[in-house]
Amino acid sequence: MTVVSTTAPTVGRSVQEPVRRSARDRYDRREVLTAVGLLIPALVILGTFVIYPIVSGGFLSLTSWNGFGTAQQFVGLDNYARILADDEFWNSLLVTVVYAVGVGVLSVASGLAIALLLDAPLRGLAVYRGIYFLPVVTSSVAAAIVWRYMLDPSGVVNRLLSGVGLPTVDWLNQRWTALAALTLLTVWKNLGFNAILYLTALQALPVSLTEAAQLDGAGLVQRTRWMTIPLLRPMTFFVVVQALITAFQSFDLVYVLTGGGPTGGTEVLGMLMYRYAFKLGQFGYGAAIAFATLALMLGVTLVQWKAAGSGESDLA
Amino acid sequence: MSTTTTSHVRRVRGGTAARHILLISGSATVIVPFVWMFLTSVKKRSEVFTRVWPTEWHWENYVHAWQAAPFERYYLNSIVMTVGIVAGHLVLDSLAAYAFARLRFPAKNPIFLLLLATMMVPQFVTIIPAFSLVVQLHWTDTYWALVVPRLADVFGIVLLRQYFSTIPREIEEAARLDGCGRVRTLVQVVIPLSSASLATLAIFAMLFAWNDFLWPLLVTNGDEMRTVQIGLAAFQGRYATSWNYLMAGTLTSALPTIVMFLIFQRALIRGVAGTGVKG
Amino acid sequence: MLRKTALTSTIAVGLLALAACAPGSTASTSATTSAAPSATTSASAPVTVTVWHYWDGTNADTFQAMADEYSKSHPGVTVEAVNIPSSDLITKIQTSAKTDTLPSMAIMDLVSVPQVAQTGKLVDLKPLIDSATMSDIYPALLDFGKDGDKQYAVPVSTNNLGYMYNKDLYKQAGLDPEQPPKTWEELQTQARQIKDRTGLPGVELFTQAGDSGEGLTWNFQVSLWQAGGEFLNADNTKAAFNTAAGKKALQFWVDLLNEGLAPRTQWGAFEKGTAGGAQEGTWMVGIWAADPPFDFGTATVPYPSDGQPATNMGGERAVVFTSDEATQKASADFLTWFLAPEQVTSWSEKTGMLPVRRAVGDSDAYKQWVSSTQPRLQPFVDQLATAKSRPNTPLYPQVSLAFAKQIEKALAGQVSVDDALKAAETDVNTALSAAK
Repeated sequence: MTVVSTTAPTVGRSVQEPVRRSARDRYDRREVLTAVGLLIPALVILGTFVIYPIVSGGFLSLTSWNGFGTAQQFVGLDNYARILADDEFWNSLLVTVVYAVGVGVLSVASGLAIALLLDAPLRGLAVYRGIYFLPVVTSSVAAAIVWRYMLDPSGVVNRLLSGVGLPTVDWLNQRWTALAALTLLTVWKNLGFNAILYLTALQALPVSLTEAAQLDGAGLVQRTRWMTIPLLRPMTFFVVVQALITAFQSFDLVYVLTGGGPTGGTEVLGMLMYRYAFKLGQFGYGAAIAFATLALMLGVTLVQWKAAGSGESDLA
Repeated sequence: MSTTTTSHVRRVRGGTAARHILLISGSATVIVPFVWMFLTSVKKRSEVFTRVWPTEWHWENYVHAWQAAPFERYYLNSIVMTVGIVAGHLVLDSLAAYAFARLRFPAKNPIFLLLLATMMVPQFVTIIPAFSLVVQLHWTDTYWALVVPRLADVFGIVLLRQYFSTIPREIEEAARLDGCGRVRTLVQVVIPLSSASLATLAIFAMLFAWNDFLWPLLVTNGDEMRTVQIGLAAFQGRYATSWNYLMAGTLTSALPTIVMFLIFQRALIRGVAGTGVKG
Repeated sequence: MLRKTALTSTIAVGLLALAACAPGSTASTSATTSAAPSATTSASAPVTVTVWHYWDGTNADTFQAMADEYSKSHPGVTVEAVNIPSSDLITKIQTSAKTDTLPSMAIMDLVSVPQVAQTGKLVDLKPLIDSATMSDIYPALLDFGKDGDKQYAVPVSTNNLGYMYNKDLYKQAGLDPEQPPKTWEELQTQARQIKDRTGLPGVELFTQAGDSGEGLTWNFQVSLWQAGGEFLNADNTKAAFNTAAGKKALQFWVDLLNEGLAPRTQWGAFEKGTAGGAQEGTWMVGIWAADPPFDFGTATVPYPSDGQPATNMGGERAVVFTSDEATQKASADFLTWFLAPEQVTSWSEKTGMLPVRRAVGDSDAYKQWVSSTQPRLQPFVDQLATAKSRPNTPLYPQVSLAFAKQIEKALAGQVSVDDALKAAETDVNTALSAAK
């Protein structure tokens, strides 16, 4: 696709800009001052109400605080050691990882698909967008209730399956089908989010590129596969990170759909953490699980960052 | 010539028809739970789980749900909180995102990663220390507590940073050559070009603020400052949930978000002058 | 240019300033004065008693009306009732305890009392509530909140589990709707008939542990106690259910599930009309009375013919948090008033909850009211004498979850009854030994 490389400068770094600067004038002082000025408002808020509490919470994870009393006994890394030995945690981790992978892959696929379908001068576009946005404004509780209803052994889904001759499934009472159902529900619920994110990114793509490719004879599928999707990599990174966060912190949907069952089959980390912190009187342990999970997510994100591009738009 | 035009047109129309078919079938699945919510909202209690279609249509459920708590006040509080949070996000996140997207300064990437990391920390970890702070500041039961701690967020910064960095540098350089300073470039050039991503951020920020439950619950103690979500949670009682009222209330509270979405989403339409890129 | 940024920030700040000056901000001053431990207030200074509770709907309205009635008849005291959604009440108490912003008193599920007591901020009510009232309360109800010689919590309502059944389904199955099962054996027979004639399970059991395990645990404890077993030992330091009685109870459940007489699903089948009967609480009577999904009947929970009648009790307890003397006294006075026979009667009759004191529960007037207005409550009232209380320990939520997670495996058919009980015993003992 020679078209791409010769018209590259329209996106990304300008060709004229030198790539390296000498160590002497590494940072332009005015630039740094401007940056500080721009960052201060957000950083003050985030620093005070997010970062400081996180540090505080981190400290709590090193104690045996029960969440009620004032006694806070420092126990060092005991909580973390306990995590490693906790079967429940490992089951939960497995469940959550499978869940996250499922949600991540399907979120990208479905969000992108819907965005691509909507990225055209169609009649009734606004109506479609409104409709696909509905799950986002449907309360999690209501969504989970309805899905539970539909997935009942005698519910709509099974009736449809047997209607077309397929075997029925006891969705919510078996471990892995319950997790599958939860995954689908989560993706469905966030469909509008992901589609909008991709739509925003699609809107930013230079039309000239794809038009040129079209004139060259590239079909819609080809253009999408070889140009649009790679160009959307930064947004894909973002969607995947969001999906990860959703999966690792999911609570409402799981609680109502399955309560974490059957026999721990959908007991995601989000439920575990919250339960230890607020229901079982082991706040320190709950916090430790949160931080252990954070480390994991960060690791995955870093790998993604290095491998797939972080948000700076780039072209081959 | 004419043959190519006709076949091109036919191909496009075929493509459009296929799009519609796919979109419509998707719409069906997407709309079902919403329909359930609506049907439930007009049923009497006993029929919520035993029948699909209501035997009688109890429209007064909406009135009962509204009167179950001082929802007028709750709506006002939710609106003030949401407007404050959305405005805050749009302004503060834009400023920070621009710095990350275009300026060079020491520790840029580590700071960014740190912020990214904070997105992955679940709310419950931060909630007690953050609440302590709010109490020390004497902000409980005020709009300060509902808005200020959430005036900026990392999601918006990451989203906007990404979008800002796709804007061709030539445009900004042209402005700089014309004598605009960095900030002026941001405000007069970059922001107007970013209406799509700003609209997206506004939608997400609005949704987050409107649906937020736990934080407002903790920092408010009485009806005067409570928000809509707290009001709705009361329908999920200890011993039984009033599903019909809950759904009526939920639908009523979802209306503003749908309206806001429809307003903001117009900015997502691919504009003609959208990117201002020269071929 | 910068003007625009300045303009936008000014607007934002202006909005906030406007908001801060809105009526909302005045609420903060009143909220903090009533909640913060203040210096002494003179005897004639008005006192506000804030009560946090999780009651909703008509119960909340009834409580509010009573609070207003008290405020009106007691000049100088205002009782402010605040509803906190039930799943977050304890969280809110936790965060408030940590930041010294607790209300004057709170009403919560009895099981939460030991945990809340760990805040160290509960007031001993023994000296503040007259002994006549205290001694008239059903003794079992005072278990939660008792610590040696002190009494930190008093019951304000009580309920228990009874057996509710679907009369419509009974008729369909050819069973006499006025003859619910009285023994486990009868339950099995009737369940079989319901299954044969209607295809639906005859009874619903709580088979999944869910997020807290308590649904399963507290339902199962009924069967355990009926079989003559105990849950924990007397001082709540060790599991006591891995006995012949425990095995008998669990086997009973497993047999029902294996035979298809009870469904292996999440809770809700009976309430949807797709199971013959289930253990349900007193509250269902009141909630369903006006608009029942089907014709239902109530009975005492069937027990094994070689066992004893027993059931599990629930209910709310009231606690008073430490603050200034005037507020503490005012809170206790409100409680004393609330526990007076007249209020207990009115509260019970309006909410369908059971009375907490004998002067009411044993009175002819109350019995008359039950049989004429809410006859379906009778079995629950009868069970007041045999209702047992769960272990009074702050570790109970952990114990309950540990227990339920192992037992649910047996109910799911994944492990044997013996293995499940053994594993549950191990886990429960581990949880209990974590006590500092």
